Amino acid sequence: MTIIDETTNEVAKTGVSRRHFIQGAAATAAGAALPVAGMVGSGAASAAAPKVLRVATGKQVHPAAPWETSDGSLFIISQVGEWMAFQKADGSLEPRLATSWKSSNGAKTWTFKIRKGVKFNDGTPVTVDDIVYTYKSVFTANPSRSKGNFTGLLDANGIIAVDSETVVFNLLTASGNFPYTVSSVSYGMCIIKKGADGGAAWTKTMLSAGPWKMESYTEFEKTVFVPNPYYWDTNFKPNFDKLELIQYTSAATALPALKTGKIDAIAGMEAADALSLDKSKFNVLTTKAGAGFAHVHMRCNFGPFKDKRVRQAAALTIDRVGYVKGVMKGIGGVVGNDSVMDPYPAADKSVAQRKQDIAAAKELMKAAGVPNGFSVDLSTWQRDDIAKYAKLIKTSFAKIGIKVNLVIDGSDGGGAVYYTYNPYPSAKGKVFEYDNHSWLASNLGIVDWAGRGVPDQYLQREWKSTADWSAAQLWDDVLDAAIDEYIAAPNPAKQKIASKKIQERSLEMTPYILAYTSNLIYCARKGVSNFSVNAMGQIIATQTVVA
Amino acid sequence: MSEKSTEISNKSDAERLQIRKERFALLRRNKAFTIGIAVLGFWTLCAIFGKYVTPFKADEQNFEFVSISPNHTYWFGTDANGQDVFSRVIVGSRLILVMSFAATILGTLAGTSLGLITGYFKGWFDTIVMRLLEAISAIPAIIIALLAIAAIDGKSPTLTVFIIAFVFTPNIARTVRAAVLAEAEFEYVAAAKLRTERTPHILFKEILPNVMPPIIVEFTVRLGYAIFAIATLSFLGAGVEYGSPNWGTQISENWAQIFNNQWWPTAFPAIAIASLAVSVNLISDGLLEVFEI
Repeated sequence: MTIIDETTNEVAKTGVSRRHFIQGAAATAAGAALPVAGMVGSGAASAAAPKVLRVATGKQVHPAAPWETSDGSLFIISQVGEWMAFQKADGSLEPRLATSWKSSNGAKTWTFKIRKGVKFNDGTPVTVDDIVYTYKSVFTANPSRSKGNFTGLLDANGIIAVDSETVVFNLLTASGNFPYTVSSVSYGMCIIKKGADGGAAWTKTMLSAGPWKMESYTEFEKTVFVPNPYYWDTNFKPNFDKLELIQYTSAATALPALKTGKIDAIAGMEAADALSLDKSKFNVLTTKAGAGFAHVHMRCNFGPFKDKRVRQAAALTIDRVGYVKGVMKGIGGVVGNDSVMDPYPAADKSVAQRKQDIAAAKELMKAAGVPNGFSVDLSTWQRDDIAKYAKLIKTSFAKIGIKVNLVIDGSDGGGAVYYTYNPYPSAKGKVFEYDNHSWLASNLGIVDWAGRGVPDQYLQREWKSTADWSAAQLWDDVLDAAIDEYIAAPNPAKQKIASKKIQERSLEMTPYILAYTSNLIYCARKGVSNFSVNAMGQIIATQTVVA
Repeated sequence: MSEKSTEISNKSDAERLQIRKERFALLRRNKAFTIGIAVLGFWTLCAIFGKYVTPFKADEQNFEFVSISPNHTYWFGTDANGQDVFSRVIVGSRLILVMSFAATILGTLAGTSLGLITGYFKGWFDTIVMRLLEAISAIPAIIIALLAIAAIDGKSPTLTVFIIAFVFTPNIARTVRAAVLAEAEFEYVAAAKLRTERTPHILFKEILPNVMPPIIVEFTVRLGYAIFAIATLSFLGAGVEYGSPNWGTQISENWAQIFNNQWWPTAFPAIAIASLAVSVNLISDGLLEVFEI
């Protein structure tokens, strides 16, 4: 099984300075250590007042509901929800509702043993019927944002409750990494009660079986949680009374609150912000985010990037190394090679790294019949890292005459225009012959993808011809075959063979630019220990101690 | 035209010329006006020639020097994207100046025309138009502009110019109308009517020259507001393209960096906006004094 095997960023490989490396190492070590002294802050309240852990997160766009989430609302669901397994900060899976799983029939059948005695946060028991309902409901719910995870992989008939402790998934095709698909990586698929409405109405109760229980929910602003008294893990005994997730448009704007003790942690931030923190007062940590977070798409079936030579030329304009070292300060990410495979162990390192080559890019533009370039809108939404990425694209593309006009949605931190579900879904053969500045109907754009421990979901939902979230809309049988080969590969050796095909074809077709892949950077004040955030941005506070 | 009326007209022109000369002399001696003109002139030169004289291209990114504080190479430092703040401030003057002047000129033309017509004709037409204009004036200009931009879903500078011109029109119309109401009672207007001059002639040839001082002052006042309106809209992400070296946009992109103690990408564009707005206000003050309005 492919996993990311460490949480701290490999800063040395990015060419970061020794000073920054030592700073990062010191911060990581400090984060792992138990606190030696508490800071003045919200957590250090009087005996009568509740002890609260306050965490700044990004903004949500859609309701924090299982069937509707597809953005920052996942941070909220991750506290109340429970999955078969949970992606840890190191990218591996931690058994949760499932105690174990095994594959058979060449990875076409997956059997999950279900934990006994698990209860929802209202005290009622979780049964295999609830689990089966949760997975079956995604095929009939409308909207159903998680349905695309199973396209071509599973249908409702394949989900079977064998007995009170066993659930079997009979897949349509083999999948070596299937447990990830039913884990918190499919963040909208937390277990809900049989018959429950997983749509927006769910936000009133947030009934699931996770470690926290929703006390109050103010959409787009703040959610307050208290410990779920029925949580199955008896080791879950937080020394604080409440957990608050507070939404900020920009993590940088949360810095004053952090520095003055009004919040205790920031769950995702820019490298420059993190490096500005006083290391004696705050712990800064990083989590490898796989192929997250931002993917630049160039639409392949319509518009000015239809010719692959134009896409290749565009990708050649970017100074990837310079950007990672300069803007991302070496700790924010690693240089990408325009495929989602590169950050993972399955990647074949022999595939040549794409580098900036303006002369070659100009030749490609000439060959494509657009030697003088063209104008195009780049659509995306407002987030610190994405806005910077958009600028990089604008200045880079300008070198070959492509004039990029930035259309950035949601100065309030939202993305209602860009992340509209009109049109939806992308599908092979369906061309959206317009650009409405939305995610799935824009010639050029940047989409935010959470960090997965394996690349399967990117491949299934973004890269394959059948993908429902394919912003680039590349329909390529060669790539599809390579993806199918990878998904079905039962062992790392076969995954590596398939990965090389995907990497090479990705460079050839260049539907997306991944100039870098990110590290999730988060911080907490000294006095908050065992606090972590996984690559999905899901906050893990079950073992957190607040001094 | 009769001999008498020609004499009146000639005498009027001579007087006007004399008054104009005296006013220019007064303006040259007015410190506020001189300073205002100097600062506005500086930014105008930057707007015209800035892109040819800046040490770096406004959009150029230098990843070796990201978020560098002001120094001898980067006078205003660099922002979080490795872009030279000084070059962006200089080049950024163009858009705000062009947009604010264009919006103010359009608003002044529309407002003056409306003010002339309503003040001259009065009656039910005046009543209806003025009530409408008052209703528009009651809503803050920025709100109208934001609503219009959101409704049209456009971020083109041209569209923004028209919207700002629209929201300025009522104020200018009211000022001009008040002046026209007073002017319309003078004998030269009655004389023009007796000469059976056509209404456009009376409005634009007879009355307009005599209400120019308040129009000029109103123009400068509105120009100041236009500068702030465009900067505000840019800051809010409306009106102009994100990422352009526009002053308001630069502040919008970089203000959060203040919390990282990186004040320079925000401070210098803010100072630029302030200096431009103050310069226009100084000009306006100077004109007010000289015109004794």
